[in-house]
Amino acid sequence: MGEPLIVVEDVRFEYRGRGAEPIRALDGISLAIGAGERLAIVGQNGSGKSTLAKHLNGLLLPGSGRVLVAGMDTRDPARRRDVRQTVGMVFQNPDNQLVATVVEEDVAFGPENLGLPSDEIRRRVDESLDRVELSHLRLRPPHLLSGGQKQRVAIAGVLAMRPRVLVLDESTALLDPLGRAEVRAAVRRLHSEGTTVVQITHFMEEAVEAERIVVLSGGQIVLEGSPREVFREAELLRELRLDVPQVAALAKRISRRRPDFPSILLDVEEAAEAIVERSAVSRQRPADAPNADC
Amino acid sequence: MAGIIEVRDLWHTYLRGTPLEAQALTGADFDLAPREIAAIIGHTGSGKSTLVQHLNGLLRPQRGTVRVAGLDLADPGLDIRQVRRLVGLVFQFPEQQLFEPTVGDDVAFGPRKLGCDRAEVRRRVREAMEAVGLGFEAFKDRYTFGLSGGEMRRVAIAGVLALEPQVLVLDEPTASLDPQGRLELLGTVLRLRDERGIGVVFVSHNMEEVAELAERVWVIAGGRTALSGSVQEVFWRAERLRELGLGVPQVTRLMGLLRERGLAAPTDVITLDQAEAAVWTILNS
Repeated sequence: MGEPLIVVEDVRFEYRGRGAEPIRALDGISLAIGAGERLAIVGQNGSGKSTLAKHLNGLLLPGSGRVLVAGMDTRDPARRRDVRQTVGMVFQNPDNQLVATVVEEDVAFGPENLGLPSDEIRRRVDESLDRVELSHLRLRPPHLLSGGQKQRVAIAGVLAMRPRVLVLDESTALLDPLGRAEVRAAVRRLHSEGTTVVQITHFMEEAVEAERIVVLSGGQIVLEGSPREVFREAELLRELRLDVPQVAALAKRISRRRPDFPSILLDVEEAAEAIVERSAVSRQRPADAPNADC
Repeated sequence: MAGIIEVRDLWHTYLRGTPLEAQALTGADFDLAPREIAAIIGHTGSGKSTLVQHLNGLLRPQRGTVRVAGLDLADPGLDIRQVRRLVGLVFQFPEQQLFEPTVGDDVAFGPRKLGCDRAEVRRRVREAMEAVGLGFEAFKDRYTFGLSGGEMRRVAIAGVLALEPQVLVLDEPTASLDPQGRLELLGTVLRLRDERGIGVVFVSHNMEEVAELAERVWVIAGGRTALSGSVQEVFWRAERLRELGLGVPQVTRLMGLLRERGLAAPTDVITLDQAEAAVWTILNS
């Protein structure tokens, strides 16, 4: 991990309704997020993961403990603007995040509000749309785009602020498989170009792409590690009401009956490799493999 | 067996006759047998929500036919309330549509509107709540806004069940629920069918859950039915599904990769249990 860009120190947070019992959402969270890291935060509904995400750019402020973003305390009102510019957020529903009637105007909204000169705004809009591969749709009205495209416009709008960290709070939850794949590809690219990515997700196929996974339950971190380390704990994940990817569950089952089979596999390519290696085919390869139909 | 729902060559154009007109359905077909669980899949904009809104008469056919228990939805003389009582529709994010302060009142809204007497309303509310796993005594006086997202969604479904429909139509019922919430909801759906004989139509983007739950799958693309059949038949067409912007379960994809590598992996694997058996056979052959 590079030097920590975000440091969360023993943060507690409660939601208080009028007259109602306060609800403890975060219960002593400590976490350091390195520059350039790709982190996934998973947990069941109500585990505190969205509350944690909203602490990362000061949308919510800790009840106790503190959050430092590039050294800035999110509770410091004088730094609030800088904090929000350093950490950009993309939410679940694209329709709630788009404000303008033309794609490029939507992306320009943030930089315009920074009061930047118009050639700088132009440069940022072009660059941001290019990074999410939407330059060809720059003049379209956003409401006529697909879900995956809308969500990429929302990401471009955040990128135009030149943040160092991109936080995606279940940003693929409402998308169809195609839209989800588009957003995943965009996120992969941004990370490879150096953006720090924090992704809150229910989709374990997405979580396995992260370098580190943090599992929340009851407002606490209960498990943390590489995808391989985390998905090894299938029983614990089930107790926490979480899934493992289908191939990981399959590997676990096979390895129980056959100890030389890997107990943890994360994606279909890796699983196919493991099975081929241990099958008769690898010992005696047919001259001409039949053409598969899918 | 005669279908309880029959859709033939259904067309629908939004904003017909205006410059903004958009064709949503261009000849869709769909069938549901009594007590059947059917999934409708298709990417965003494929027309599946438009199709689903025809099933209880929210939209009436512009061209083609929709029949529900023999009632013709194109018949202008039809009392549409008959259809609404037979087919209950639960929209996407139904938790946003709760409006009464307490759970019991929210579920009771429908039967009260039907003119049921007090005792009958109470019976229906109790049964509907128990059916979705919300204990009547424990939940009837709870404030709806104090519930979790998954609980609110079940309240909304109970509100539709209290109308005692023969068919329940759910538009993306598990979207943004956590895995356990999803499992519970799928369990509820299965119980409704097994114990009450309710037919179920659900729209989903989650191919693993389609594989686990559906008996028949209808794939909608470009406003018409592109594929339909048993779950195995549909997922066997992985390449076609990919062209349509859809996926197949991970284990189905795995079997495809194994076949490409020259292994005799079956083409009809869609669940974890089937995959385990198939891999075991491959490793030991």
